[in-house]
Parts: sequence; C-alpha cells; structure tokens
Amino acid sequence: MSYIPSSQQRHMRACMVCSIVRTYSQFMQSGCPNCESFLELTGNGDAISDCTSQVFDGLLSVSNTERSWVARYQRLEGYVPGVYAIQVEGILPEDAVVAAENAGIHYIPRDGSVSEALPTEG
Amino acid sequence: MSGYDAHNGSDSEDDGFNPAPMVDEDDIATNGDVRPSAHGDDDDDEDQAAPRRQQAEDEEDEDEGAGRDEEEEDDDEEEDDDDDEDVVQRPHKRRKKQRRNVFLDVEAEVDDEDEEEEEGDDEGGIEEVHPDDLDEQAGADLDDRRHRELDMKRQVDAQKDAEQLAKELDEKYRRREMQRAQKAAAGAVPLSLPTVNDPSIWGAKCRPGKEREVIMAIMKRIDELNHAGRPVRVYSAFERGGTMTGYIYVEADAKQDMISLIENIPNVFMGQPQIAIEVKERPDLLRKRKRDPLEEGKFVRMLRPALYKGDLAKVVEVHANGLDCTVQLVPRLDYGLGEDANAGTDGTKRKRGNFGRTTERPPPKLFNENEAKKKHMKHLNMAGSGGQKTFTYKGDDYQNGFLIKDVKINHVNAGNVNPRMEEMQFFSVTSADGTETLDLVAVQAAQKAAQTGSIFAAGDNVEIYDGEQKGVRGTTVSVRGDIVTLRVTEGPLNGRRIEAPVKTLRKLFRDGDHVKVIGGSKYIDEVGLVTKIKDDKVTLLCDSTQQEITVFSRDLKRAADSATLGHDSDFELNDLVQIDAATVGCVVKVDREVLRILDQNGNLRTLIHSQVSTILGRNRNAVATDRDGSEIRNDDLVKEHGGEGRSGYVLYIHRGVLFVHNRNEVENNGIFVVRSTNVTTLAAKSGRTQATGPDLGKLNPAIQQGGSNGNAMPPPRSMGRDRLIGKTITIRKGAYKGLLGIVKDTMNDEARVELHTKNKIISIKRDLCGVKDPVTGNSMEFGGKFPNRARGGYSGSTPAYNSGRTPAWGNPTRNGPSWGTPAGGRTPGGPSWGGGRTPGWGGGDGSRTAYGGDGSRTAYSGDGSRTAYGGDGSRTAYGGATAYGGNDGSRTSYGTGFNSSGGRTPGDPTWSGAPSKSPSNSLSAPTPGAYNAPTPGPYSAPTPGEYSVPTPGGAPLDAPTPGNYSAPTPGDSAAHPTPRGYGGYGGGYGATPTAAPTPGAWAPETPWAGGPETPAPSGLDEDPRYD
Repeated sequence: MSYIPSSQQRHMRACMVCSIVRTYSQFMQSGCPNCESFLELTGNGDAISDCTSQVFDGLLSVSNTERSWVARYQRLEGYVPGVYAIQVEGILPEDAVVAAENAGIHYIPRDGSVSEALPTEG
Repeated sequence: MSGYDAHNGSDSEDDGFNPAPMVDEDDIATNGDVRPSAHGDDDDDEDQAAPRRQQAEDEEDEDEGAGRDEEEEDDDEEEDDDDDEDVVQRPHKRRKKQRRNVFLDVEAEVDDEDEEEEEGDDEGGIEEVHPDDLDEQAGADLDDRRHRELDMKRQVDAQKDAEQLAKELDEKYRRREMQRAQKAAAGAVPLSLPTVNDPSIWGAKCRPGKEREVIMAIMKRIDELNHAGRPVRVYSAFERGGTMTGYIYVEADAKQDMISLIENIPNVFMGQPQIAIEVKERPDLLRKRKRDPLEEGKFVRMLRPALYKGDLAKVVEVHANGLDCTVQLVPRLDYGLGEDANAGTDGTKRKRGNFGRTTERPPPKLFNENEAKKKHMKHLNMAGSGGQKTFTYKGDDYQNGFLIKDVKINHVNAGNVNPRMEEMQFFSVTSADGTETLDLVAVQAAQKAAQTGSIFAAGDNVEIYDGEQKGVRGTTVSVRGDIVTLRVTEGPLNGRRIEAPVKTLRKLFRDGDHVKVIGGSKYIDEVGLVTKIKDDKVTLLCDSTQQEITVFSRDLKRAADSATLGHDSDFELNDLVQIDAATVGCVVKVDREVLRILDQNGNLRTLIHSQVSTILGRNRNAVATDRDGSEIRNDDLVKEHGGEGRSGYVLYIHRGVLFVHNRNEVENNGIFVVRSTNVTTLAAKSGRTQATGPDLGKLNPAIQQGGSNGNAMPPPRSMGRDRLIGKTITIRKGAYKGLLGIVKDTMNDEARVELHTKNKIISIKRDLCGVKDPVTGNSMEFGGKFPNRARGGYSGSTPAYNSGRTPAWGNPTRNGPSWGTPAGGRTPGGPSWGGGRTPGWGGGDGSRTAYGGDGSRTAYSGDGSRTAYGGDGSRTAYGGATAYGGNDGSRTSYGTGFNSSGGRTPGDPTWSGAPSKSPSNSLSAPTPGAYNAPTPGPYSAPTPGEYSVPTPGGAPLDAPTPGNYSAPTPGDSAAHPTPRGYGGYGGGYGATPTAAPTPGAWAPETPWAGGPETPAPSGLDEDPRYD
C-alpha cells in the first residue's frame, strides 16, 4: 500500500505538510492520507505539484506513529503509518498554509529552514 | 490510511469544509470567498479548465485596473500572490470571476453595449448565464474584449507610479514574511528529545545507493505483517541518503525484533553487527540540513542533465515553489553535426544516449544562430527583437547565446562552485564602454564556499567580520584546517589568542600596502599598491600595468617583492600550436591567461590557454615549394611575391602555408603568414641548391611511370663521385678560354676549376670544360668513361658515338663528313661536338622532320629530346637519340641518346651544342613523351625516302655505325645510372652492326621507344620506314 516499487520510485513526491511520500499517481488517485481535508490533492494535478515536492531527503518507514520516537520527533504523531520523508524542500503556497492553519494544523516547513525543530526554552 | 485512499476528495466533503476564518482579513477574503464560489462554478466549468484559466488571467488584468480602488487593494494583493505562487490556483480564479462580473457590468454599461447585445444574440435562449460562460461561447467577441482589457491594463499601469508599485509589492511581501515568522514562532513546539524509555535505534549497513529501496522493502514487510495480523515490533526505519550512505536505521524495542525484520531484505548487510545509536546522538540522525538558498545571480554547478554535468550556471530565477529555478548555461550543442543521418527517431536516439556517453559532449559555446540554421532550421524558432533575441531551438530557450533552462533545485549544486576563469569568461558582463567585467559579487558568492584556511598565512592581519567576535582584529598565528588562531592586537582582548573559523575572517590591509594577488581572480600574481579599501574589496594599482584592479581582500597577500609575472604558461612565443583540428597558429604573444595567435589564415586570435590543444613542434622534414617550384625548408629566406613584398625566414611550414618571421616587422611579433606558392626563395639554408626552374621531371607522371616500367630512360643521375672531378680540362669558352685546370669540385652544371696558370679556383659551366689527358694534352673522351664503347674497333668509340648521332641527324651532307670524322679526329674534340653536332641536328631539319613528322618526332626529335629528360629544367640530351634518322640501318646514330644522360657525359656539350633547338636544355631533356614517342608508328610515318636520299654515305655508314653504336651504347648504359633502358639499346645496337643496315637491326633498338612493339613495326617495314 505504502510500498512503492523501485520502478516507481523516481516519481515519488513528498507532501510538504505531513511529508508522506507517494507517487504522483497515488496522490492523484487518493490524495494525501493526512492532509486531504484541506489540501484537496485528489485529482488535482496543480495542487499536487504545488503542495508536494519531488525534492526531499531521507526516507522513513513508520509502522506506529504513536509509539515511535522518530515519528514523534518528525511530528508525525497521529498520521497514518507509511513512508515519510525526513526533509522536504519547497515552499507551500500561501493559501495552502492558510488552509492548513484553518484545519488546526501548525504548518512548520520541513525543509530545515526553520530551526524550531530544535527544542526552544520556555 | 485505506480510508484516505478511498476518499476521493468529493465535492460534498469539500463543501462541508468551510472553515471559520480566524486569521486576518486577507484570509477571510481568500478562503471565505474562494471555496464556495469554486464549487458553485464547478458544475458548468468542470470540463473547461483551460479556457477558464485564460479568462481568469484576463480578469486579473481587469482587477489590476480596478486596483486603484483603495478598498480593493487587499484583494489585489492576494491575487498578485497567486500569480507568484502559481498561475493556476483555481479557487482564487473562481472567486475573481465573480468580481469580474461586477466590473464587467459597469464596463458594459459604459461602452460595451453593442457587444453585450451581440453576445446575447449569440447565446440564443440561455438566460442568466454566467458571463464567463458567455465569453467562452462567443469566441469572436472574446478576442475583442481581450484587446480592450489589455488596453485598459496598459493605461492603468502607465498611470500607476512606479514608486507606488514598488511600495505595494514591498509591503505585500513583507507582510507575507511576517505571517510566516509568526506562524513559525507559534508552531515551535519543543520536540521531545529521546529518553531511555523510547525505543532504541540501531544502524545497519546496507549497499550504498540502495537505502531507499531497503526502506521501501521494510515498509513492504511491515505491511505484510500487518496484513497477516502479526505484531510489528519495529516502529520505524529510515535512511539519510547522501549524508550517511550505506546505513539504514531501525527503531525497535529489542535488537532481536529489529534483526528479524531486516534480515533477508536484499541489500542489507547482516554480516556486520548492527550498531546501537546512543540516546543523545539520535536527534542528530534526523537533523535537517538547511539547503544553501539559491539566489538570483548566484553561480551553481549543474548535476543533472548529464550533458551539462559539472558545468557552471548562473541562477536567473528561483521559482516560487522553491523547487525549480531557471539557470543560465553555456550551451553544449553540436547543431546536429554529429548526428547520424540513419539514426531512428529522436526517441530511440535519446534512449541510446542514456547508456553512457559514447561520444564526447560538445564543448560549451555560446549559441550560434547561424550554426543552428545550417542543419536544424526546422528546430529553430526566433522570437524577440533588437538586442535581446531569443531563440527556441529543440525545445530549449536561448538568450544572448545562453541556454535558459528550468531545472530542479536538487539538480544544481550551490556549494563548492569554485568557478574557473575559463568558465567565468562567458558570464562576464560587457559594459557600455565595451570593457568586460565580472560581477564580483556573484563570483564572491560562488567562491565563498571554497574558502579554506589555506588563504591565510601566519602573520596576516585579519579581522573577524562576522559572529560574536565581530570587529576583533589581530594577526594570524597559525592555521589548522578551517580554524585560524590569531593574536588580537587591538581592543580589550589585546594580546589574547583566540580561534576563529576561516569563514568569519577577512584580511586587513591598509592603504599603501604592497600586496600580491594570490588567487581567485584573473589577476593572480599581480602585485600592486593598495589604493582603496571598501569592505572586503580592495583596489590596488598594479605595478606592472599601472592599472587599478579590484579584488577581494582574501585573495591578497602582503608582498615585499616586486612584480614577477612569472606565468607558468605551457606556451612560448613563436610556438606553433594546434587550435582545432583544421587550424594551427603561431603564438605571437603570451599573456597570463590568453595567447595571441596568428592562425594559418593570417587571422589574429585571442585564445585562453586551455583552448589551445597542443604545441606542434617544428617539422624538420617539412617542405613546400615556392612559386618557382623550388623547395622551401625551414629557415630559408623567402620573399613574398607581390603584396607587400615582405621577406623573412621561414619559421614553420604547415601544409602550403609558411609562417615567416622577420625581426624588422613590428606587427605580430614579426610573424606573418603567406602561402608557399606566393613566395620566392631568396636564399636556402646551408647552400641547398635551388633549381632555376620548376623541376618538371618530378612533376611529370609519365617519367615516373616510365622509370618504373624500365622502358624509358630514367633521368640521368650522377652516382657517386662526379667523374669530372680531378680531371684536367681546358676551358673552351669565355674569359678563361684556353686555360688549363683541374676540376676540384662540381655542382650540377658548374665546375670549380683550379687553374694551372694562376693559383686560383674559378667556377665555370661544366660544359665549357674540355677534358684533356693530363699527360699528352690530348683531348679525350671524358675520363675513359666509356671504355667498352670502343669495342667496334674504332678507337674513339666516343666519336662513334657522337658522330653517329650527328650524322644520323644531320643533313645528309653533313652526315657524310660527320661520319667520317667521328671515327677519326672528330670525336676527340669536345667542342667539335657541340658545334658540329648540333648543327647536325638543326640542319637536320629535314631529317628531323623526317622523324618528326609524326609523333615520333617529339620522341626523338631534337625537340622532343630536348624536353625529354633533363635532370633539371634544362632539357637535354637526348634528342640525340633521334639518331635513328639514319635511314639506313647503319645510320642509327642515336647513340646520342645516351649522352643525354647527364651533364656529366660528354654528351652534354653536345647537346648544348644544339642551340638552335634546345638551347638551354642541355641536361634536362626528360619529357617522357620523348620516350614514348618513338613508337613504331612514327617510324613508319617518316618517309624513308627522304633520308635515304640524303644520306649518301649510307653504305659507308653502315659499317661504322654498328660499330659505333654497339660500342657506345653499352658504355653509356654503364655510365648512366639507368642501365636498363640503355642496355636495351646496347643490345639493339649490337645487333645492328651485324645486321648492319637492315631494319632488323633496328628492331632491337626500339627498346628506346619503350616497346617491344616498336621493333615489330620496324621489322615489318623496311628501313626506309625509319626515315
């Protein structure tokens, strides 16, 4: 399900919000399992190319997002098990950010540009 | 997950999601408006996405027009944002559509009434249709409207103050930044550091490059376990690609769980034990690396299109999504020159290209319109005008010669760019005054990454310009890697030693410092005086060129020494170098980076060192011919014929081109290029002889051929020592006439004679030498050269020889005497030959003609003979051969032919003697034709009668002739290098004597003619024939 055969791996894209990795056609068919409610990627090629990125680094398979420290550290708690990226490049369009905020999700870029990934005091 | 997969983002759900806006007004406007409208439109618009997009753009235009309205400003901003982010943001477009309607109505009222009516007509019965849809249907009107809209937009733009525009944009973007910052701050949830209670993480080795596949395989296994309802005890597995190749990390509670999951997964190496990662190190495994932000104007190196891998590129634009950028590249195109005409479609070709590049990729070169037109006109499209021409060639855009390409940011590398000078030259900016300058800032940005400690040396004055210790100044004490230890010389820390990373340091110089450029720019090794310092850019006045140059301070070093521009160029002045496969050139100036090269076409080129492939040495054996046909070798003094009449010494010979050097010329370091056929040789090096005329013998294929056949007489060559040397001679002509001397040396047709009278050596033509017996003082045939000739019993075989000839030719009258003489006195007298004989020839008009009447003549005849075979330009000899003329078999004088052989033989004089016909050519006779000529035909032609008549002495002759002939021939042949032909003769002659007059005798001769055939004919025909 989350498995992507190696022949398809060059079409992999990562969602810029939740970092889940799927192929373009998977996004096209069923959207992003975590963010579909506000990103509305299904069947929307433009949205897919805007909100997902081909440029990502580090592949992470998670079987249990609650128990795994890695998943927690990657802020994947509550997401579906599957393959995620550790770092996702790209800038999420403003309206998608707004949509995410409206959906109650704190959007934190996963491209390493923001240092909030490190614990801050207070 | 599965639930999500099933979920298809239906409208119903979307409709349900209509969030209560909680941000600022902008967002309200955006979201509140957008979604509902979007869905409202969906029904009729779904299938018409494309046209609608177009419209949406139009609407934006209009909106901008309306943008002046204060109230709408915010909305405008939003739209602009959309533009930036993505042109095809649907929701916004839809929203805009609504507004547009409002606007349109107004517009329609004002000036579009007609149109509206028309549209109404077109629509037919549709009432209350969305005006947008209206538009779509009324195609014709659509155009019109667009034009109007565009006009309006232009108007508005014009009215809008540029400043105001800038302000708006600025504000807009700043606000966005702020928003983002706020969110980031708000979202900064402290991440949980791992504790001992969390699962452990192990690192396992895997095959490098297969990390992603391994992770995917693990995911698959997890899925399988889940499917089977078995517990999955591994929580996660991940890899870090480029930073930690060859490792994957697995998170689990127990090591056994981890091992059981990953074993048997391909490409995981279970041989080595897995490493447990310590708790405090775990966050590092997930650390994100901040990518070097791409900025416009920055230099990067290409990674991806294999064709451009490693090439330097300049970022022109970074796209809004942060994933793509537009770069400027120096294209590598071959314009289809290397294309295989028989190759299949493009598709197959591209595919083939994927498997390793078999051919070299074309060198980087700016796009050349003309090149592209040659073979690929069909792929070329032109756009734009004026200075900014844009081409589309094979789907790529080219501007100003550069390839403009959109690439993914992970296909370029912004770090460690380190541009080289050759690469930078393409990107130099040509300013208005024509000077080329590099964008120093961009260069610096590109080179920053390359900074290492090596640019600092102990004792440099440095300043920390970044970081907490900013402003601290000191002197470097030591450098270790990227850390520089410095002793602070100013401020509160004075005297303390601190360490600072290289990155934060810059060198300090003061005005007036004497510095040397040690790297980074094309001014490397330049030394000068610092005149101005601004930030880290230092301007200095070069010692060598007295020019001011600006470089980065880090590229400078304090220098005590003065300028030594020791360029380590591989090339030296006057080197002959290969420029490309077809071009060579001579280096006329060596600069630090560039060479000035005079190429073989006489063009002066400026090339950088790397553009020159190799140095071609001087080819010792190179030979060219000048316009006279003389050979030219290196170092010969030549003079241009015509033109400027320049002269000089040949430096190089390349094909037909000479690189000539003349110290007195200033231009191009005294080197100029001429075609070899356009010069005359003034002096050859080391006294190499120069022929006076073209050496036809060499050029004439017939001769060569004849030589190989063995039929024709090869040009006479002197073998070994010239026999004339050491002979006692008298001089027959000229100022020294009658003087006796000894030949000391010979050269071609000259002889150096030491006179007996005064102790003096003079040069005379060798044909003025009459050889004497040193003892008796009698004239003698040249040095017993033809000892065997005398065979016939005639003492003077020589005479026979000569005489034979003459008579044969000679008018019959002449012949008579001549014949007689030959045997006797005549022979000896060298001079006699000359004189007598020639006339013989000449006189022989009749005779000659006889022969000659036909082709034969050429062959034999004086004329022919003349041309015939000279070793040199001069034709010599062997017209004599014609001797045949003697109709009588006996006559067959032609012994002469032999003489022809060389200047050396007495024959020479003879020939020369025949001035009338062939004045100059005593030697060179060698027109092959001559040889060939003597075909039987000719013989037959000449009416025998004539001759027979004239030669009264026929009978008498008979006797002598044979003797004569037989004798001389062999001798000749022996003497001459070309035995064969002669040998033939010899035989022939030999025969003749016996046969005497009979034609049969002749037959053997024919060998001359070169063909056995000849004999036959002669045999058939009777003697008369010959005549």
